[in-house]
Amino acid sequence: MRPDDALAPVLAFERVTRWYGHVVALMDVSFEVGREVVGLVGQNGVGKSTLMKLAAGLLRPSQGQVRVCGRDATTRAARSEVGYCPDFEALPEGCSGAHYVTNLLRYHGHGARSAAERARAVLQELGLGQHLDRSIGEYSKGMRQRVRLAQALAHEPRFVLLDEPMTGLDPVARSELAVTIRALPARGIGVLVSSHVLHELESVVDRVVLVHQGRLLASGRIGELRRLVPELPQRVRLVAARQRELAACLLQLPQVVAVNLTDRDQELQVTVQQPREFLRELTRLGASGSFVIEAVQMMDDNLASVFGHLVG
Amino acid sequence: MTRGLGYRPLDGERSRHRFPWLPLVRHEWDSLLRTRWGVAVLLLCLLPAFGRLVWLTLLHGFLQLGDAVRTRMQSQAAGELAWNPDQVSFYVEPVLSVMPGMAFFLLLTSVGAARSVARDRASNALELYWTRSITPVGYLCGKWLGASMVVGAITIVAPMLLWGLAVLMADDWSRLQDTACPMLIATASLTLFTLVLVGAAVLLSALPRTPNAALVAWAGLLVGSKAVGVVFARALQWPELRTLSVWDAASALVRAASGLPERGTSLFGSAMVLAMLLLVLGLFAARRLRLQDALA
Repeated sequence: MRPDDALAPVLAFERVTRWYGHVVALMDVSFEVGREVVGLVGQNGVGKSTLMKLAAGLLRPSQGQVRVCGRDATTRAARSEVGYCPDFEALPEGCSGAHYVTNLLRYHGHGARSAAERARAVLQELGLGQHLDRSIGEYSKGMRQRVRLAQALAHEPRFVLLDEPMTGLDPVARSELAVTIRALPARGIGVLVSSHVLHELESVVDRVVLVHQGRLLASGRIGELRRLVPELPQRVRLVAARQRELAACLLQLPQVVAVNLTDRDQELQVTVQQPREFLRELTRLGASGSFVIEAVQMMDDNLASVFGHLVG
Repeated sequence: MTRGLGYRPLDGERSRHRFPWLPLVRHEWDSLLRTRWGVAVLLLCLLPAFGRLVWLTLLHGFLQLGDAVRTRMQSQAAGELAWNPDQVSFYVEPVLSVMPGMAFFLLLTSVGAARSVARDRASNALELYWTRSITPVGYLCGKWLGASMVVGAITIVAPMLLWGLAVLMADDWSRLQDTACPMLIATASLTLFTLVLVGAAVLLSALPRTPNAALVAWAGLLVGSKAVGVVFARALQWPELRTLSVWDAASALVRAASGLPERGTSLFGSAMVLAMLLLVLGLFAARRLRLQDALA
């Protein structure tokens, strides 16, 4: 990787619009993905799949340009830089994981021996070393997901598209996959990952791109997006002794909308406007020694709440 | 504790092949032999060739069932071209006949060629191919050649092997001298026959949405056109109308090239029927395999 390559985006959408006949699937979308993990968030039917297919070079934009490593995404050169992990089950039951990845590598132009060696090595790196020659039909969901990821990574792409990679995985497999995805940017690989499991996505991505009704709703770090919508009331969880007295005290603050005492001992949930101001007041309250506040947790500072607020 | 999968990229340069779809040919061949069912179908389709081999061994006395049987076989071989190992018909006719030729051809193509593209479409494998360096044209070429290799096992390889064994079983080299040249031409025409019919099957399989629909369409084309040809030829007392049958049209080309007796089909008409069929299927398949259509 050349030094200037490190700064160049691996994926760039430049004012991309895509129609299917008279239906607009995507409208004037622009964003870039560098060597980072970017999450693609949107409800079903908002143009997420179209966006993924445009990025994979499977569709041409009706207007605008999609570029992968500076090249038109539909060109052969660009496609060789893309690793695509689709959300569907496209694994043949009859052959082994190693055989399957080898075959797909060969379609990238690798020789038989080099493809076989590479496929085995990647599968081994992804934790399937013991099961290389077992039939895919005998694999668990997590193992199948790793095979799909292996075929996307085996040809050493510079950009990887992961469509719903967490679907159907157990928590342990999800965590393992998240760690693997998080490691990719360090190797110079940009990642665009779509998922409905928002809290899982949150732990994986550097930035998110929110798509709604074919338009780019917002793009940026989750915290930054959260700060863009300050008028949204936020819930704050507090753990403190003398919770009833604290609740009465908090209700005096202008930022506090409501205070709920929960069933748990010493815990209360506060709904606030202007959370920064509230936290400043809370710090002052704690410093005065009137109350011992053991824990403060911003409950709505997450992707799901931002997404929920933005799409109404 | 979370255990990382520890992926790290491998060292090494990427290689580039001029025809990245070539492995598809091997993959298509492998897909038949990977299952016991596929192997069983292939062996079943080779039964006519095995039958002829048994006939040869009996005729030349390698297997003994008594002199009476052998004499009867020799007289049948002398009377019928199709049962005489000194004639090209003996090797080619089992492939071109409706039974067993067309029946086993249909069976073997139904396992592979006739469903190949539709099967990939149904399993969403097309998306993975398109994200490789494979173009729709390259993909079709790979499928076509791979499926032709599979079908060629019964239409090209089996007659050739049978002829080779017949030459070795003969009393002298006269069979080799008499049949080598016509057999070479027959093999070339059988290769063309296989490529054309398998090409039609693969192109047709690109049109329907499901593998089963593709299979029905292929069987309909092969058997249906045969029925239409026979019915029209008899009803209108016009033998050339048998050429409406795709199978008969392709067979007519082989018969003409190999010097086998004609069966009332027109050579020009046969060529036209096959050319039109491939053109129409090719146009529809090209339209269907445009990426946005393929992925819709």
